[in-house]
Amino acid sequence: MAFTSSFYDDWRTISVAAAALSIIGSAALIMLSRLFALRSLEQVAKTEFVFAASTVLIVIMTLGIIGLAEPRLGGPDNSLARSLYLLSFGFNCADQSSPAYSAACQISFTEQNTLIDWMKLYLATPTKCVQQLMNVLYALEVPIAAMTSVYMEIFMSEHASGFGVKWIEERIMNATSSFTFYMYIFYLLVHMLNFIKFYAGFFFSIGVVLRAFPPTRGGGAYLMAMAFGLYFVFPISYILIASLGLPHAQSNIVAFNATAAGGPGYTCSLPDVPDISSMACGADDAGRVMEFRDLILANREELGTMITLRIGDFERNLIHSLCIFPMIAFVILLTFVLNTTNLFGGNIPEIGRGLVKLI
Amino acid sequence: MMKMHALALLSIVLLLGASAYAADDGSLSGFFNNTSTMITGQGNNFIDAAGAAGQVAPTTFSSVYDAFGPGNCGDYWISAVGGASTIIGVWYIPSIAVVFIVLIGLALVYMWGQVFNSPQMIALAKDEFFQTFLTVMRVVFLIGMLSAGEVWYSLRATDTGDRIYNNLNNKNMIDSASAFARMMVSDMVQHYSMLVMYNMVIHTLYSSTMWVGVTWRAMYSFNLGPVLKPLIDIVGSALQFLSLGISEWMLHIVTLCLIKKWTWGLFIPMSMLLRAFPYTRAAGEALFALVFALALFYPFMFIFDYEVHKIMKYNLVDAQKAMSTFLHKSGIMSLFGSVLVMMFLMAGVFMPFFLGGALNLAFELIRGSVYYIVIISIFLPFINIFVTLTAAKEIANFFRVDVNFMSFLKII
Amino acid sequence: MQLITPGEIVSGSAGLFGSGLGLWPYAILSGLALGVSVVILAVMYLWGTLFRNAQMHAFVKSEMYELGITAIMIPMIYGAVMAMSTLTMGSFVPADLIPGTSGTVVTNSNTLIYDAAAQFYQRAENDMSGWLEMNYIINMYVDQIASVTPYARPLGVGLVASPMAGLASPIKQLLYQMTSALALAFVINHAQLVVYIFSLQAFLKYYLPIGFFLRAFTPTRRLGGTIMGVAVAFLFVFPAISTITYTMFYSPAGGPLVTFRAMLTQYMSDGCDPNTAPDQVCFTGHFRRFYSSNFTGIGGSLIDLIGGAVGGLGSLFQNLIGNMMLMLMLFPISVVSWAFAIGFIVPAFNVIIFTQAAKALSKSFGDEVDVSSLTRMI
Repeated sequence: MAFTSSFYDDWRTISVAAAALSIIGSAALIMLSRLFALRSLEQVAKTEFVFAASTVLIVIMTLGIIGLAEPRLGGPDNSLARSLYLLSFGFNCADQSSPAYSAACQISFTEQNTLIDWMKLYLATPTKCVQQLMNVLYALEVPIAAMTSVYMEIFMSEHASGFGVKWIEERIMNATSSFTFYMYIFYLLVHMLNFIKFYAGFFFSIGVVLRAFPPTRGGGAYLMAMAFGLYFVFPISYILIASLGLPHAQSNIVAFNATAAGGPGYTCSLPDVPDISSMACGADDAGRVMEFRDLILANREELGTMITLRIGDFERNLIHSLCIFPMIAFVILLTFVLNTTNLFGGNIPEIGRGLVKLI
Repeated sequence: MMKMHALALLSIVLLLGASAYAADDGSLSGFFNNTSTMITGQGNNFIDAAGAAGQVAPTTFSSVYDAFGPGNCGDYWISAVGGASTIIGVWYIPSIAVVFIVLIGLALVYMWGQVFNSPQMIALAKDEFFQTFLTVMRVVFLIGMLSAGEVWYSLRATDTGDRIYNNLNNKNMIDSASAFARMMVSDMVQHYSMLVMYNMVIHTLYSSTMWVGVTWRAMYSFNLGPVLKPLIDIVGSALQFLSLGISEWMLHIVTLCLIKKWTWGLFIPMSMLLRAFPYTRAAGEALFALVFALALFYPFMFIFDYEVHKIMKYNLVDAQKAMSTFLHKSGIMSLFGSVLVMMFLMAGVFMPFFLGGALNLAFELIRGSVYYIVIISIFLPFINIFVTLTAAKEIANFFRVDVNFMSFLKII
Repeated sequence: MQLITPGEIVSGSAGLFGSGLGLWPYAILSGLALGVSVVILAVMYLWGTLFRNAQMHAFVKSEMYELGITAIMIPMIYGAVMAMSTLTMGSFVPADLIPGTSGTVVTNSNTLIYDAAAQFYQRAENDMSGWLEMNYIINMYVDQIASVTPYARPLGVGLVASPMAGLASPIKQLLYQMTSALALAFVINHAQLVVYIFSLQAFLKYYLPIGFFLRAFTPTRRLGGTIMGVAVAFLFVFPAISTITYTMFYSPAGGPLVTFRAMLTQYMSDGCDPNTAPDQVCFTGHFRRFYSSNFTGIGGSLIDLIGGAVGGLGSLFQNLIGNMMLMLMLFPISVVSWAFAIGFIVPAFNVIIFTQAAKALSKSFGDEVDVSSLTRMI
């Protein structure tokens, strides 16, 4: 792992070193131009010195934000993201005397150290229910599919019938297809977020190096703004939107459970598959078929509600979490990048024109 | 009617129950173990394989993965193509001869300009001398930068305990880049194989049709397939995209081999030759910049990708272990065919297996597939090409040549 | 219909268009055109002197300079054209790298580079035809496996399933992709060959002589120079690129397609018997055994499947597929990659280099011609 840990010598070191080198270089250029009395070169060198100084300030600002603000914004304890997350479940952890205060406020989120980790937690919360709901749908689909596919041959005549349950099967099929798509999107977002989490600093340091040279100044500014935006602005925008737009307390998908397995503090509150393992005994007895039928009939109200209402509700939740909120956060990110790039010395129309050709 | 159903079920169980213990329930696990061992073994041989020593093409092959082999890349940069003497003898000497001829011509132009007192001709001759000098400096610059890159790489890679960096067959950065490309092919093929195995088991259940009735006179048939159709679809689309990813990484292997083999054997002499004439100077500069970027930046980007993969792969499950667990611990081996159907209908023993094991495994395999397809096969190669071409453009700009390499992106 | 060979075009023995000389008689008139141009420019110079027009003088001087360049350029290019029939592979490719003979395609050090360029496309065509045939045979085998459907229905009651479909259907998908990719790559490759032979014939016999004449004549100098530039690109740059590509992919010292062919030969041969050497992988032996067994070898496995455990699937898979699974997965994927490389990436690369060369040459000789739209073919 040595190569990995020292692959890019920590982005902080590279950024500071590049900024310092550009200061030293432009100072040397000023001295050289004064020595040879080259006025035009002196002007250029002074401009470069100003840019180099601004690079140093930007690097210091970024280091400060990462070092000081990040734990307060996205740390595991006493951070804004933690408060928002617990608030989304309806717990007011700031005021111990409040009736909304809960013992859940004591829970420790050991794996959530950055804003991106909190964003992944927000994304993972509803998707945890996907598998549980698919379990229910598959359990239901077994007899439904069998009934749908019944095909009768009687004395050289054929009669096919689905016993009127095909609509349930279609509903289940469509739901599972949608859930599969959302899981794809979820995995895609998680992999991209992991990449950003580990390598945003590296690309920021590359941007600092590029900003030091006049020909690549624009590209460097853009890279710095994009890296910072992806690491900070994108996840914090998402967290704010998700907390305000669809708090977990308002959904009937998840409930808070401090000891839940698989995730800190939440558990899926969708119906689970009833325990039917006892029915394995005597499975070759025809009477068991009737028992299973009676089991379905006894729970038909709940099953009907789930097929008609709860699937739709859950899909709405997934669309918001995985499609709409990330899209809004991305728009905010691009607005940030547009303004910050110009602030850092880049020229977006020139960069954008070139990048657009790539697409 | 109910009595007929009961009679049918009873007859099935009686007829087939006797043969329930005659089956070999270990053959599927045996097939899986043999196949996955073979895939792993051949994959490891493929990753660790040396570029063929010397100049001889391989004549026998011990691994099916050699279908992705790029041919003979040679051990070192200069010896990849028929040895140093071949390159120098056939292409460098003519290039240098042409340069000398051009120099003699320029000397004549200079003398002509002095004789006829033409400052324009003198300036032209001086400029062309300078350009010829720059050509030599370019080559020296390239040698220096490549050597610096290799020294940096060897300092970083020494004693890291890494399988690729510490493999003695990987002498240069480009060798390690090729080894990483082979590793990706091997990993994706393993993942693909596990998806195929999973598809094999699930599809068997999917394609089953149960017939119940009274001996051809009145029959009912049940398809057990639809319940598994979404899983089949998921796995099918993952397989399709993964196969395209494997094809793409094979092209990376071939590209890296071509770069290693032909940089000093063809591209550098050609760029020197093109740079010797004013009319083709821009083309020579463009080729030089592109070759420099491909020789230095492109392999480095693959090393960067390897470092990315080493961190991000911890989010993925080991597909072979997961599949092995699924096959051996789910209990599916212990069921026999007809009773399996019963279990389907009764939602008995089969249901915990299915819900607990198959769905989990499907999502883990798909999670891995999304990583290999999106991150490894789309996102990272795009960054590789973009950085390489941008570096080539900036290098060309530095030497005051404006080239547009972006048409190469159309190849993507 | 047999395509004319580039060697016949270059050596002038082709008689498709009457005398076979094309429009070369017009090139002979270039000297006259040069003379007429000199006279015209002399008149213009006198006119400029008469009316003391300095701009006219400058124009005449620059045109005289261009005439001088034309007078030098035409013999040089003509000489290069005359030397075309002497440009052999041995002139600039090391002997180790000359691709050698494969079937009816004979390439040695005496082969003209124009013939060698065509041989690259022919050899790629032959390889792709072979892969398509291999694909068809593998598809038959895999399709048979995929459609194995044991009927476990004693007295009509029981189970029907297709256990092999899950294994074989992804492989069928790969084979289908292989067919699509190869078909497209084959068409592109053959199109390149046809365009190459057409361009040799057209530019050598028609466009180049016309270009000489037009460049020698002052009013049409730019147009003639442009045509000459594009002609030089087609006559020298394109064959050179194709020959280099041929050398890179088919050199006997480890060219990738040579290695791939050797590998296919090893794994597709019938040099092994799965009965006596089950660990060896060779397709033809396995294929023959599959069709000659009348399923006797796998009948037991089917019984296991019908009456036995699901675990019995394993012996069915082992008998029908065995250790061929990896080969059946990897070969189609690798062929798709090679089809991509030869049919899309290499032509794209060559077209980009060729268009840049054509642009630069036409700009040098006359007016720049925008052939960049050729890259839209990619």
